[in-house]
Amino acid sequence: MDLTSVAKLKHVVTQMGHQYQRQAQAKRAIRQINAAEKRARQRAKDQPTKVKVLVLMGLPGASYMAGTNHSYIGNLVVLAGGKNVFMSKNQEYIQPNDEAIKKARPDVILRLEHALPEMVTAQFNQAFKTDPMWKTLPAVKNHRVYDLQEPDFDATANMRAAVALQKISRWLYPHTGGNNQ
Amino acid sequence: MTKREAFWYTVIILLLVITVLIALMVGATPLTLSQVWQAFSGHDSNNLATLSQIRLPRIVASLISGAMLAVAGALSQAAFHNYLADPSILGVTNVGSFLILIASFFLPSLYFGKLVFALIGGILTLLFLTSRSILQHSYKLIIIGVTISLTFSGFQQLFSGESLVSTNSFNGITWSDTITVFIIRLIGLAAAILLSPWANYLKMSNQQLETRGISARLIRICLLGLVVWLSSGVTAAVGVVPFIGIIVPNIVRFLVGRDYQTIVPLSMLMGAWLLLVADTIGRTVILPGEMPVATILTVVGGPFLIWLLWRQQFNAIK
Repeated sequence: MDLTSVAKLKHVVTQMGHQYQRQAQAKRAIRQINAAEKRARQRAKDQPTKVKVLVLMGLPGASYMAGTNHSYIGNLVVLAGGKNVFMSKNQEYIQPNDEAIKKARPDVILRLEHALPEMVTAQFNQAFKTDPMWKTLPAVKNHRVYDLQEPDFDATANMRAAVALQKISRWLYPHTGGNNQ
Repeated sequence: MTKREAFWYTVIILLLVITVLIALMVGATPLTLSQVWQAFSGHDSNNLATLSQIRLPRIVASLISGAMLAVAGALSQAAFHNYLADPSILGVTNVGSFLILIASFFLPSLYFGKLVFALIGGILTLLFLTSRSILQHSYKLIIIGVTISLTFSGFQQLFSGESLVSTNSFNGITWSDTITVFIIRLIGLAAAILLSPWANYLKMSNQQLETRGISARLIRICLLGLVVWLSSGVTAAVGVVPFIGIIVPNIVRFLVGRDYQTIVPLSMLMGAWLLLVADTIGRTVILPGEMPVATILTVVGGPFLIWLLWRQQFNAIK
């Protein structure tokens, strides 16, 4: 099962609905996701500029990787109308370079902490505290760093995609119709 | 110092200076030499922050790590009488790295916890490898070492619960990491230079040493203690960095001969240079991403090791 984007999730749900005679339920789930996508589009529509977003995925015991537009969270950022600062042609995650992060100046940082959240959150907090590079970023200065945890968020899409998209959409564009901060 | 040694010292020191300058210039925001100069003389605070907070700690960390790994390799080769005996090949670093992961489940983000577990892992592995039945055959030592190393890197992948292999890198290293980790290690490097004559003694047979009143066992324990101290310091800070300890001492041996009083300091300089080159390439070739230094060294070190084995008939140091 490939669940690295919302579109692929919808495809899988439709297929499974067909396979297990649960078409009505499948349709209902997809309607929910579509509605969330539409709301996110509207929220992002009138914004003067796209917010720049950095997606980080914490790895237990080591460091972190950057989620590109090909990762599931990266896909949610696209649907929410954000601009991922780490784009890739084919990779889901890349090992980011500190200087490149500093240069990209993300407005929002999403930290995915799906595996062993307690440990990974502590790791992130430690890194953000000790490495002075983070303090130079608009996202950190304006307190727009968000922790993404289960059950709403995971490395691949799950049935809470609609909730996940709504949350990210609100983090990216907290004030609709006006300037974002 | 012979002419030949003086020549190679000069070459390597020159290479080091040039590489440090290049490493200061390249990155996500490339700088010219005059921009670097301007930043350091206080005319450009933004570039100064990039240089002093991101590039410089990383350069210093990779220089010291490279020196530590190369010296650990040289001493381990002397102690085991085997020119392939490098802590990363023998599994010393992988066991340490695995124990760090396990420890981090219980004691998240404690540096000294990491160091202690890297040390314990290294010591246990060396105790096992120095058992008599393994030491008798040099190929047996290497094969068992490689197997330990593979086994524990497998365990590590299993326990980190990720299909993505967590890669280690010098990225994000700060001055406080650099200082806490490496200043202590400089003592180890100094000790290595002081003890390098001992490494020469081990070329004699145990009986010969005994008649001179020197205990081969004591020398071996001291040298291997230093090997663990140096290699676990790097493991605790940046994870397993393979092959430096094999490539560098063997090239140095080829360049200047078999005297450890030259091999150790020259390996130190060349190891520092090689790791800085590898890390600088790693952080610039695929921007905005990075290639882990371990990957680069495996790509270079693997073929080198094969060539070394193919060229030599057996791997005991003559």
